[in-house]
Amino acid sequence: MTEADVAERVERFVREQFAIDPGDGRFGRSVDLFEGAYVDSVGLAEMLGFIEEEFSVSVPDEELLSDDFGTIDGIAAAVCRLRPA
Amino acid sequence: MCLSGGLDSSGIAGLAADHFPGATAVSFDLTGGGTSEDRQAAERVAERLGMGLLSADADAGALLAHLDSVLVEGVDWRDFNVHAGLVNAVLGQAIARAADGAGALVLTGDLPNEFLIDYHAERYRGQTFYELPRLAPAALRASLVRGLDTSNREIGVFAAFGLPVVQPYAVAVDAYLSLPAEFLARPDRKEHLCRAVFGARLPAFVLERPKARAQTGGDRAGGVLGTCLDHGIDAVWLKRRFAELHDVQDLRAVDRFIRAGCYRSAAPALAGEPG
Repeated sequence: MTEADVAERVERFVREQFAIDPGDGRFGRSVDLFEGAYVDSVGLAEMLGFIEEEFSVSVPDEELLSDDFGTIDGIAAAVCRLRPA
Repeated sequence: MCLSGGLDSSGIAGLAADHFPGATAVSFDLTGGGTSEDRQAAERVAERLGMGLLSADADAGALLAHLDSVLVEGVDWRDFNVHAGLVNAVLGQAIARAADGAGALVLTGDLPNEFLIDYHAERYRGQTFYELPRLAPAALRASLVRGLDTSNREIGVFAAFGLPVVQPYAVAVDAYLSLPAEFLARPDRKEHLCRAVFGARLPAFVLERPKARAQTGGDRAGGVLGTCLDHGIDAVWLKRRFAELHDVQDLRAVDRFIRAGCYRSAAPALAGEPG
């Protein structure tokens, strides 16, 4: 699975789970989901549950707390790093 | 011994009565609405265990006077932790006054709610508060336990009164976290476990009580949650006041400060810009 595949699945989850307006031009894979108020702390827990189950990874705190984990692109990169080769 | 009369604190109170002769139970109550079910239950438990009971009472003004201290010492602005911190502040103040400089060790029944996912959302005036992530039991437990990283609502708030705190359930954390997901899905999981762990130390009426949450007042409308909201102290107010007290100019730094229940920097003002 490529990083783009992961990003696509995460984006689909975020759009559906958090009811992102399809016409929201600000939303994208490089926007900070938390500062952009797309995902709150409850939503992050749900997103983390999805990521860990969907991609069979366990996200360590250093990844979770990194700035990169704030965007869909960053999450996809982290997932690809964490997945067994 | 902080005693709500619920399962968690009553179990620890039973152990405290055995191992700390002369231990005193302390019970929180908001005045102005009659005696709460929690207070009544705490009185019954204390009497059954032969413990004295110290009343930690506060009206709305006395409760809200602790807000700044809770926001500073609790290092959190989120309502569920602030409201719990306010209860602890009232308890801490009563204990410190009663100890009168002699020192005291505080025991609490905190942690099993996270270990056993014994939380639920609350409704007040048509709105939902304390929402939980929609997750399977094991993932929800992991999320709640991770969030304990930001639980200064207890240790920090009591420390502000010079009171060290022991959370006895922490001793058994590995045992609790090894409980399988099937057990976490049982509606009677906590009652079942408390019967097994505490046995005859727990009075039967405690096992039969419906769960009450001090923050919401149990049987009475509102509790701490309602008192805050009725005074205009909602999530937005708490976040702004937290930022002021911690000298944070940009509210986005507050959002960056905690993620998934973990602190991302040593202090809110250090959360800074991303990157």
